[in-house]
Amino acid sequence: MTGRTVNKFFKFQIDDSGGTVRDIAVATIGGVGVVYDQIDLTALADALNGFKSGHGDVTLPITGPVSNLVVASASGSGVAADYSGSHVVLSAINGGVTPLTFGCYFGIQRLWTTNDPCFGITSSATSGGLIFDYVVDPVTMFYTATLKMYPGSSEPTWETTAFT
Amino acid sequence: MTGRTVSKFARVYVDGRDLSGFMVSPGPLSSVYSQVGGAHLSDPIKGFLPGRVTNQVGSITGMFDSSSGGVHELSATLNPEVVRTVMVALGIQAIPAVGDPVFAGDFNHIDYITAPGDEEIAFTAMVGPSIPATTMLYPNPWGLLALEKSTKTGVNSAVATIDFEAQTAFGGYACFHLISSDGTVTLKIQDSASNIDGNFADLLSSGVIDASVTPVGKIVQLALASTVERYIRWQLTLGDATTLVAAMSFHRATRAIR
Repeated sequence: MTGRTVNKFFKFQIDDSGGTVRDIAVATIGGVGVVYDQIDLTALADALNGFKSGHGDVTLPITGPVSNLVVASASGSGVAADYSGSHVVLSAINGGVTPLTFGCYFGIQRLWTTNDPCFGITSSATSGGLIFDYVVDPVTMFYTATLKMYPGSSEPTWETTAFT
Repeated sequence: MTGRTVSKFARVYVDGRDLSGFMVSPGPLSSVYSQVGGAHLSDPIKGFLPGRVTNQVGSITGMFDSSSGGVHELSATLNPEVVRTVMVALGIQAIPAVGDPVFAGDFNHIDYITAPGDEEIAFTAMVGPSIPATTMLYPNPWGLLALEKSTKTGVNSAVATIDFEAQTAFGGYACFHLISSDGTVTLKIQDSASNIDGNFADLLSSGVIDASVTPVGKIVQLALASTVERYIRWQLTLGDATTLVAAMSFHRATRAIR
Protein backbone atom coordinates (compact mmCIF):
# COMPACT_ATOMS: atom_id res chain seq x y z
CA MET A 1 0.00 0.00 0.00
CA THR A 2 1.20 3.54 -0.60
CA GLY A 3 0.17 6.86 0.81
CA ARG A 4 0.06 8.61 4.15
CA THR A 5 -0.47 6.94 7.48
CA VAL A 6 -0.89 7.44 11.23
CA ASN A 7 1.31 6.49 14.14
CA LYS A 8 -0.86 3.67 15.42
CA PHE A 9 0.61 1.58 12.63
CA PHE A 10 4.21 2.14 13.83
CA LYS A 11 6.17 -0.54 15.65
CA PHE A 12 9.74 -0.82 16.95
CA GLN A 13 11.93 -3.90 17.24
CA ILE A 14 15.37 -4.43 18.71
CA ASP A 15 17.62 -7.33 19.61
CA ASP A 16 17.54 -8.61 23.15
CA SER A 17 20.71 -9.56 25.01
CA GLY A 18 20.71 -12.95 23.29
CA GLY A 19 20.57 -11.46 19.79
CA THR A 20 16.89 -12.26 19.16
CA VAL A 21 14.72 -9.51 17.72
CA ARG A 22 11.84 -8.43 19.98
CA ASP A 23 8.92 -6.02 19.74
CA ILE A 24 9.00 -3.47 22.58
CA ALA A 25 6.39 -0.85 23.38
CA VAL A 26 7.44 2.62 22.24
CA ALA A 27 5.38 5.73 22.96
CA THR A 28 7.71 8.29 21.43
CA ILE A 29 10.71 8.03 19.18
CA GLY A 30 13.11 10.77 18.10
CA GLY A 31 13.62 11.56 14.47
CA VAL A 32 14.06 8.33 12.55
CA GLY A 33 16.79 8.66 9.94
CA VAL A 34 20.37 9.72 9.37
CA VAL A 35 21.47 13.29 10.04
CA TYR A 36 24.63 14.39 8.27
CA ASP A 37 27.04 16.98 9.64
CA GLN A 38 26.95 20.15 7.62
CA ILE A 39 30.54 21.18 6.97
CA ASP A 40 30.85 24.88 6.23
CA LEU A 41 33.22 25.38 3.27
CA THR A 42 32.39 29.04 2.71
CA ALA A 43 35.16 31.36 1.66
CA LEU A 44 35.09 35.11 2.16
CA ALA A 45 34.54 36.01 -1.45
CA ASP A 46 31.84 33.44 -2.03
CA ALA A 47 28.51 34.78 -3.15
CA LEU A 48 26.73 32.64 -0.59
CA ASN A 49 27.44 30.13 2.14
CA GLY A 50 28.22 26.66 0.90
CA PHE A 51 28.22 23.31 2.70
CA LYS A 52 29.09 19.71 2.09
CA SER A 53 27.80 16.78 4.10
CA GLY A 54 30.13 15.10 6.53
CA HIS A 55 29.61 11.93 8.50
CA GLY A 56 26.09 10.87 9.28
CA ASP A 57 24.79 10.21 12.77
CA VAL A 58 21.87 8.16 14.03
CA THR A 59 20.55 9.05 17.48
CA LEU A 60 17.28 7.42 18.38
CA PRO A 61 15.81 8.43 21.74
CA ILE A 62 12.84 6.22 22.62
CA THR A 63 10.33 6.30 25.44
CA GLY A 64 7.59 3.93 26.42
CA PRO A 65 5.80 2.21 29.28
CA VAL A 66 7.92 0.06 31.57
CA SER A 67 6.89 -3.56 31.24
CA ASN A 68 8.25 -6.89 32.46
CA LEU A 69 6.36 -9.10 30.04
CA VAL A 70 8.07 -12.38 29.25
CA VAL A 71 9.89 -12.19 25.92
CA ALA A 72 7.91 -13.19 22.84
CA SER A 73 8.79 -13.82 19.24
CA ALA A 74 8.89 -10.64 17.19
CA SER A 75 5.92 -9.91 14.99
CA GLY A 76 6.30 -10.27 11.25
CA SER A 77 4.54 -8.90 8.22
CA GLY A 78 0.89 -8.00 8.58
CA VAL A 79 0.79 -8.85 12.29
CA ALA A 80 0.40 -6.59 15.32
CA ALA A 81 3.39 -6.14 17.60
CA ASP A 82 3.77 -9.02 20.09
CA TYR A 83 5.43 -7.19 22.94
CA SER A 84 8.33 -8.40 24.99
CA GLY A 85 8.80 -6.48 28.23
CA SER A 86 10.58 -3.20 27.54
CA HIS A 87 12.32 -3.45 30.92
CA VAL A 88 13.36 -7.05 30.34
CA VAL A 89 14.97 -6.17 26.99
CA LEU A 90 16.41 -2.71 27.62
CA SER A 91 17.83 -3.19 31.13
CA ALA A 92 19.88 -6.11 29.82
CA ILE A 93 21.25 -4.49 26.64
CA ASN A 94 21.98 -1.07 28.15
CA GLY A 95 25.72 -0.47 28.03
CA GLY A 96 26.42 -3.59 25.99
CA VAL A 97 29.02 -3.65 23.19
CA THR A 98 27.42 -6.25 20.90
CA PRO A 99 25.88 -4.60 17.81
CA LEU A 100 22.11 -4.88 17.81
CA THR A 101 19.56 -5.28 15.05
CA PHE A 102 16.85 -2.65 15.24
CA GLY A 103 13.94 -1.65 13.04
CA CYS A 104 11.42 1.19 12.89
CA TYR A 105 8.39 -0.02 10.97
CA PHE A 106 5.92 2.36 9.34
CA GLY A 107 2.75 0.53 8.42
CA ILE A 108 0.93 2.43 5.67
CA GLN A 109 -2.71 2.59 6.73
CA ARG A 110 -2.39 -0.96 8.04
CA LEU A 111 -0.24 -3.12 10.29
CA TRP A 112 3.28 -3.05 8.85
CA THR A 113 3.43 -5.36 5.89
CA THR A 114 6.34 -6.25 3.61
CA ASN A 115 6.83 -3.44 1.09
CA ASP A 116 5.84 -0.79 3.62
CA PRO A 117 8.79 1.43 4.68
CA CYS A 118 11.10 0.50 7.54
CA PHE A 119 14.36 2.01 8.81
CA GLY A 120 17.05 0.11 10.61
CA ILE A 121 19.83 -2.41 10.24
CA THR A 122 20.37 -6.14 10.52
CA SER A 123 23.30 -6.53 12.85
CA SER A 124 26.60 -8.26 12.23
CA ALA A 125 29.78 -8.52 14.24
CA THR A 126 30.71 -5.03 13.11
CA SER A 127 27.45 -3.27 12.40
CA GLY A 128 24.41 -2.41 14.44
CA GLY A 129 23.07 -0.20 17.17
CA LEU A 130 23.92 0.08 20.87
CA ILE A 131 21.85 1.33 23.80
CA PHE A 132 23.64 3.93 25.93
CA ASP A 133 21.14 4.76 28.64
CA TYR A 134 18.07 3.35 30.30
CA VAL A 135 16.16 5.62 32.68
CA VAL A 136 12.93 4.71 34.46
CA ASP A 137 10.62 7.33 35.94
CA PRO A 138 8.71 5.60 38.76
CA VAL A 139 6.11 8.40 38.71
CA THR A 140 5.03 7.90 35.13
CA MET A 141 6.33 4.32 34.88
CA PHE A 142 7.83 5.27 31.53
CA TYR A 143 11.37 4.56 30.40
CA THR A 144 13.71 6.53 28.17
CA ALA A 145 16.57 4.99 26.26
CA THR A 146 18.95 6.15 23.55
CA LEU A 147 20.28 4.17 20.62
CA LYS A 148 23.38 5.13 18.65
CA MET A 149 25.50 3.22 16.18
CA TYR A 150 28.44 0.89 16.84
CA PRO A 151 31.89 2.22 15.74
CA GLY A 152 32.56 1.50 12.07
CA SER A 153 28.99 0.30 11.57
CA SER A 154 27.31 0.44 8.19
CA GLU A 155 24.60 3.04 7.86
CA PRO A 156 21.08 2.01 8.75
CA THR A 157 18.91 2.25 5.68
CA TRP A 158 15.34 2.57 4.56
CA GLU A 159 14.08 -0.77 3.36
CA THR A 160 10.82 -2.54 2.66
CA THR A 161 11.59 -5.93 4.19
CA ALA A 162 12.06 -6.75 7.86
CA PHE A 163 15.40 -6.58 9.65
CA THR A 164 16.40 -9.86 11.30
CA MET B 1 2.53 -10.54 37.43
CA THR B 2 3.88 -9.20 34.16
CA GLY B 3 3.03 -6.16 32.10
CA ARG B 4 2.89 -2.40 32.56
CA THR B 5 2.16 -0.65 35.82
CA VAL B 6 1.59 2.65 37.63
CA SER B 7 3.46 4.58 40.30
CA LYS B 8 1.21 3.70 43.21
CA PHE B 9 2.70 0.21 43.16
CA ALA B 10 6.30 1.41 43.59
CA ARG B 11 7.95 1.03 46.99
CA VAL B 12 11.16 2.67 48.21
CA TYR B 13 13.41 1.33 50.97
CA VAL B 14 16.36 3.34 52.24
CA ASP B 15 18.75 2.04 54.89
CA GLY B 16 16.17 -0.44 56.11
CA ARG B 17 13.35 2.12 56.22
CA ASP B 18 10.21 1.86 54.11
CA LEU B 19 9.86 5.44 52.91
CA SER B 20 7.00 4.75 50.50
CA GLY B 21 4.60 6.63 52.75
CA PHE B 22 6.79 9.73 52.89
CA MET B 23 7.47 10.55 49.27
CA VAL B 24 5.58 11.61 46.18
CA SER B 25 8.20 10.68 43.67
CA PRO B 26 11.51 8.85 43.64
CA GLY B 27 13.80 8.97 40.65
CA PRO B 28 14.07 8.98 37.76
CA LEU B 29 16.15 5.86 38.16
CA SER B 30 18.93 6.30 35.69
CA SER B 31 21.71 4.15 34.31
CA VAL B 32 23.57 6.23 31.73
CA TYR B 33 26.76 5.29 29.92
CA SER B 34 29.06 7.89 28.43
CA GLN B 35 29.17 7.85 24.63
CA VAL B 36 32.77 7.48 23.51
CA GLY B 37 33.73 7.74 19.86
CA GLY B 38 32.75 9.50 16.68
CA ALA B 39 33.91 8.66 13.18
CA HIS B 40 37.14 7.70 11.54
CA LEU B 41 37.57 9.18 8.09
CA SER B 42 36.38 6.17 6.17
CA ASP B 43 33.60 5.14 8.57
CA PRO B 44 30.21 5.02 6.87
CA ILE B 45 28.61 6.64 9.90
CA LYS B 46 29.51 7.93 13.36
CA GLY B 47 29.83 5.13 15.91
CA PHE B 48 30.21 5.04 19.67
CA LEU B 49 31.08 2.66 22.46
CA PRO B 50 29.70 2.87 26.00
CA GLY B 51 32.19 4.19 28.54
CA ARG B 52 31.60 4.10 32.25
CA VAL B 53 28.07 4.19 33.60
CA THR B 54 26.61 6.65 36.11
CA ASN B 55 23.74 5.23 38.11
CA GLN B 56 21.52 7.59 40.09
CA VAL B 57 18.35 7.37 42.11
CA GLY B 58 17.71 11.05 41.43
CA SER B 59 15.49 13.48 43.24
CA ILE B 60 13.14 12.20 45.93
CA THR B 61 10.29 14.63 46.62
CA GLY B 62 7.46 14.66 49.09
CA MET B 63 5.60 16.59 51.75
CA PHE B 64 7.53 17.60 54.84
CA ASP B 65 6.77 15.15 57.63
CA SER B 66 8.61 14.90 60.93
CA SER B 67 7.11 11.54 61.81
CA SER B 68 9.36 8.84 63.13
CA GLY B 69 10.88 6.69 60.42
CA GLY B 70 10.39 9.29 57.71
CA VAL B 71 12.62 11.15 55.31
CA HIS B 72 13.15 14.11 57.67
CA GLU B 73 14.31 11.89 60.52
CA LEU B 74 16.68 10.12 58.13
CA SER B 75 17.96 13.27 56.44
CA ALA B 76 18.21 15.74 59.29
CA THR B 77 21.68 14.47 60.19
CA LEU B 78 22.94 14.55 56.61
CA ASN B 79 26.66 15.04 56.20
CA PRO B 80 28.93 14.81 53.16
CA GLU B 81 29.92 11.24 53.94
CA VAL B 82 26.46 9.72 54.02
CA VAL B 83 25.89 6.74 51.76
CA ARG B 84 22.40 5.26 51.47
CA THR B 85 21.45 1.73 50.57
CA VAL B 86 18.46 2.28 48.32
CA MET B 87 16.02 -0.19 46.84
CA VAL B 88 13.19 0.91 44.53
CA ALA B 89 10.83 -1.96 43.80
CA LEU B 90 8.41 -1.54 40.89
CA GLY B 91 5.28 -3.50 41.69
CA ILE B 92 3.63 -4.68 38.48
CA GLN B 93 -0.10 -3.89 38.78
CA ALA B 94 0.08 -4.75 42.50
CA ILE B 95 2.34 -4.00 45.44
CA PRO B 96 5.81 -5.42 44.75
CA ALA B 97 6.02 -9.18 44.66
CA VAL B 98 8.81 -11.69 44.14
CA GLY B 99 10.15 -11.37 40.61
CA ASP B 100 9.21 -7.71 40.13
CA PRO B 101 11.91 -5.32 38.87
CA VAL B 102 14.14 -3.65 41.45
CA PHE B 103 16.67 -0.81 41.14
CA ALA B 104 19.12 -0.95 44.03
CA GLY B 105 22.58 0.05 45.14
CA ASP B 106 24.63 2.26 47.44
CA PHE B 107 24.32 5.93 46.58
CA ASN B 108 25.61 9.23 47.93
CA HIS B 109 22.96 11.29 49.70
CA ILE B 110 23.75 14.73 48.35
CA ASP B 111 21.16 17.07 49.79
CA TYR B 112 17.95 17.58 51.71
CA ILE B 113 16.12 20.82 50.91
CA THR B 114 12.81 21.99 52.35
CA ALA B 115 10.62 24.80 51.05
CA PRO B 116 8.94 26.51 54.00
CA GLY B 117 7.76 29.35 51.77
CA ASP B 118 5.23 27.09 50.09
CA GLU B 119 1.83 26.63 51.67
CA GLU B 120 2.38 22.91 51.77
CA ILE B 121 5.99 22.50 52.86
CA ALA B 122 7.73 20.17 50.54
CA PHE B 123 11.16 18.63 50.47
CA THR B 124 13.55 17.33 47.89
CA ALA B 125 16.36 14.98 48.67
CA MET B 126 18.88 14.28 45.98
CA VAL B 127 20.27 10.78 46.09
CA GLY B 128 23.09 11.06 43.67
CA PRO B 129 25.52 8.88 41.86
CA SER B 130 26.59 5.49 43.06
CA ILE B 131 29.63 5.23 45.29
CA PRO B 132 33.03 4.51 43.75
CA ALA B 133 33.66 1.25 41.96
CA THR B 134 36.28 0.32 44.52
CA THR B 135 33.24 -0.59 46.59
CA MET B 136 30.39 -1.04 44.06
CA LEU B 137 31.53 -3.64 41.51
CA TYR B 138 28.54 -4.03 39.20
CA PRO B 139 27.35 -1.42 36.66
CA ASN B 140 23.79 -2.66 36.13
CA PRO B 141 21.59 -1.60 39.06
CA TRP B 142 18.56 -3.62 37.97
CA GLY B 143 17.54 -6.92 39.51
CA LEU B 144 14.50 -8.78 40.79
CA LEU B 145 12.69 -8.75 44.11
CA ALA B 146 13.59 -11.92 45.99
CA LEU B 147 11.48 -11.21 49.10
CA GLU B 148 8.67 -8.69 49.17
CA LYS B 149 8.42 -6.66 52.37
CA SER B 150 6.89 -9.12 54.77
CA THR B 151 6.97 -10.45 58.30
CA LYS B 152 8.92 -13.66 58.79
CA THR B 153 9.28 -15.89 61.82
CA GLY B 154 11.24 -18.81 60.39
CA VAL B 155 13.31 -20.22 57.57
CA ASN B 156 12.17 -20.53 53.96
CA SER B 157 11.37 -24.06 52.84
CA ALA B 158 9.52 -23.07 49.68
CA VAL B 159 10.95 -23.61 46.24
CA ALA B 160 12.18 -20.68 44.19
CA THR B 161 9.98 -18.43 42.12
CA ILE B 162 12.89 -16.67 40.41
CA ASP B 163 14.05 -18.83 37.53
CA PHE B 164 16.69 -17.42 35.20
CA GLU B 165 16.46 -20.60 33.08
CA ALA B 166 20.22 -21.06 33.08
CA GLN B 167 23.29 -20.83 35.23
CA THR B 168 25.39 -17.69 34.76
CA ALA B 169 29.05 -17.01 35.53
CA PHE B 170 29.17 -13.24 35.86
CA GLY B 171 28.42 -12.74 39.56
CA GLY B 172 25.87 -10.37 41.02
CA TYR B 173 24.80 -8.74 44.26
CA ALA B 174 22.02 -8.64 46.82
CA CYS B 175 20.29 -5.77 48.55
CA PHE B 176 19.04 -6.53 52.06
CA HIS B 177 16.68 -4.33 54.06
CA LEU B 178 15.95 -5.43 57.62
CA ILE B 179 13.11 -3.08 58.49
CA SER B 180 12.43 -4.33 61.98
CA SER B 181 13.33 -7.25 64.22
CA ASP B 182 13.25 -8.19 67.88
CA GLY B 183 16.83 -9.42 67.82
CA THR B 184 19.58 -10.65 65.57
CA VAL B 185 19.05 -12.34 62.23
CA THR B 186 21.01 -13.21 59.11
CA LEU B 187 19.36 -12.57 55.75
CA LYS B 188 20.47 -14.60 52.76
CA ILE B 189 20.06 -15.24 49.07
CA GLN B 190 20.32 -18.88 48.02
CA ASP B 191 20.69 -20.52 44.65
CA SER B 192 20.24 -23.98 43.23
CA ALA B 193 20.57 -25.82 39.93
CA SER B 194 17.46 -27.83 40.76
CA ASN B 195 14.40 -26.26 42.31
CA ILE B 196 14.21 -28.56 45.33
CA ASP B 197 14.15 -27.27 48.90
CA GLY B 198 17.07 -29.31 50.18
CA ASN B 199 19.32 -28.44 47.25
CA PHE B 200 19.64 -24.71 47.83
CA ALA B 201 22.96 -23.31 49.06
CA ASP B 202 23.82 -19.93 50.50
CA LEU B 203 24.97 -17.50 47.82
CA LEU B 204 25.03 -14.17 49.68
CA SER B 205 24.58 -13.27 53.35
CA SER B 206 23.97 -10.05 55.21
CA GLY B 207 25.92 -11.35 58.16
CA VAL B 208 24.38 -11.01 61.61
CA ILE B 209 22.29 -7.86 61.73
CA ASP B 210 19.80 -6.43 64.22
CA ALA B 211 17.02 -3.94 63.53
CA SER B 212 15.57 -3.90 67.04
CA VAL B 213 16.87 -0.34 67.48
CA THR B 214 17.91 0.87 64.02
CA PRO B 215 16.81 -0.53 60.66
CA VAL B 216 19.56 -1.93 58.49
CA GLY B 217 20.11 -1.70 54.75
CA LYS B 218 23.05 -3.34 53.08
CA ILE B 219 24.49 -4.35 49.71
CA VAL B 220 26.49 -7.59 49.55
CA GLN B 221 28.35 -8.50 46.37
CA LEU B 222 29.70 -11.67 44.84
CA ALA B 223 33.19 -11.68 43.41
CA LEU B 224 33.19 -10.85 39.70
CA ALA B 225 32.68 -13.91 37.49
CA SER B 226 31.10 -15.93 40.30
CA THR B 227 28.80 -18.73 39.26
CA VAL B 228 25.12 -18.23 40.04
CA GLU B 229 22.76 -21.16 39.58
CA ARG B 230 19.44 -20.95 37.77
CA TYR B 231 17.02 -20.75 40.72
CA ILE B 232 17.11 -18.00 43.36
CA ARG B 233 15.24 -17.73 46.66
CA TRP B 234 15.43 -15.81 49.92
CA GLN B 235 16.49 -17.39 53.17
CA LEU B 236 17.19 -16.36 56.75
CA THR B 237 18.72 -17.65 59.94
CA LEU B 238 17.26 -16.46 63.22
CA GLY B 239 19.71 -15.44 65.88
CA ASP B 240 17.89 -14.34 69.01
CA ALA B 241 15.11 -12.74 66.93
CA THR B 242 11.74 -14.43 66.79
CA THR B 243 10.12 -12.14 64.24
CA LEU B 244 11.31 -9.66 61.63
CA VAL B 245 10.20 -7.57 58.66
CA ALA B 246 12.50 -7.58 55.65
CA ALA B 247 12.79 -7.10 51.90
CA MET B 248 15.51 -8.47 49.62
CA SER B 249 16.53 -8.26 45.99
CA PHE B 250 19.04 -10.08 43.84
CA HIS B 251 20.86 -8.50 40.91
CA ARG B 252 22.33 -11.13 38.61
CA ALA B 253 25.07 -9.91 36.25
CA THR B 254 24.34 -11.20 32.76
CA ARG B 255 27.55 -10.26 30.98
CA ALA B 256 31.21 -9.81 31.86
CA ILE B 257 31.84 -6.52 33.62
CA ARG B 258 35.02 -5.89 31.66
